[in-house]
Amino acid sequence: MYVVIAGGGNHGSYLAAQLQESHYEVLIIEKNQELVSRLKSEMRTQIIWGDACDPRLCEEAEMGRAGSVLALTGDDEDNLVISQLAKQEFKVETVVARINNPRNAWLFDQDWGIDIALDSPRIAAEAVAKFLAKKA
Amino acid sequence: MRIIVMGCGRLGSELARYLQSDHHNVAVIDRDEDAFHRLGPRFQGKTIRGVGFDRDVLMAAGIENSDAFVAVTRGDNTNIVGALTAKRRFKVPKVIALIHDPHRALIYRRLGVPTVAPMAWGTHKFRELLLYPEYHPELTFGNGELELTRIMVPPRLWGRPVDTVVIPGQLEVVAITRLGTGFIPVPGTHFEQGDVARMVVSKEALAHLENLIREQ
Repeated sequence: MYVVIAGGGNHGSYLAAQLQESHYEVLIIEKNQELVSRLKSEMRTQIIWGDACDPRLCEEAEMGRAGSVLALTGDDEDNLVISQLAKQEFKVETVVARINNPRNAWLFDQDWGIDIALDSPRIAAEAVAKFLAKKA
Repeated sequence: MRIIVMGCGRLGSELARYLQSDHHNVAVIDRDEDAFHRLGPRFQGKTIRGVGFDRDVLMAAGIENSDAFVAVTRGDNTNIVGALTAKRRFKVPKVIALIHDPHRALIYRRLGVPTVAPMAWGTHKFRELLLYPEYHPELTFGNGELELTRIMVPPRLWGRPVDTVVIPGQLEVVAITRLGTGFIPVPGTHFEQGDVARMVVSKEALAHLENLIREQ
């Protein structure tokens, strides 16, 4: 399966490496030029420099043939817009989006084309709370 | 109308003041407290500091009872998220977004959010002023795709049927002013010396119109 990942930060690059290991075809879209250079030197994964919210860049990234798009940028608005684009314009089957600020979690739903919303802060908080409760 | 304006930049603040002077009930949202200074001391609407698509901020702005929501921040994505949230979650009847990127504007129009794409409009205006000085545009429609323009009918068209200049879908002659009287041309109307013609023309047909006016 061809997977397009928007956001080459910690989440994106780690996941890309994992997926590539499992023989998925992966492409990362990252808008920070320095980060793109660094990733290119550190990873085998294909990386393109650009704004994943730009429909023309998504065309270039062949998003139409992607089985999944992962919107993992550090910006909630961007993740929502990328998800909407992926689902509505490119008809991508599985869209996963990362929630940066839990206050915005209420937005991340099917209306935006999101199949799976990853609320990392909340997941982490719940894990920590459980851990501390055991110790108390 | 109860209107929420998201974004208190130059456009948002100007819009908010204008709407208030039209006696609408206006609430303005902006991330930056300083931005509200642009509203001036006589602004009587509500100001809410915060992110425009944050639920608490929207509630404070009165979104549940709003008639309209206008997203005019500098960021296209922020405007899209604000506008679609207002429309889909809160069912605000009238939602409009400012989108700078014309490619994105098209996509969001399809979702039922009218968009204003200022760059596209601005580009058309500049191009026109640079390339076509012979005619006088009076109104534009959409984001510059169509224009209502006024021309003095040139000598080469005197006595010619109005129909000869019409290009279906691109150029229509909608009114002629002759000796101070305005009328709508019908099949069989011919141009006469002194006529002022008003035409609706698409941007694709502008060059053709220019040739019409210039050719001897």
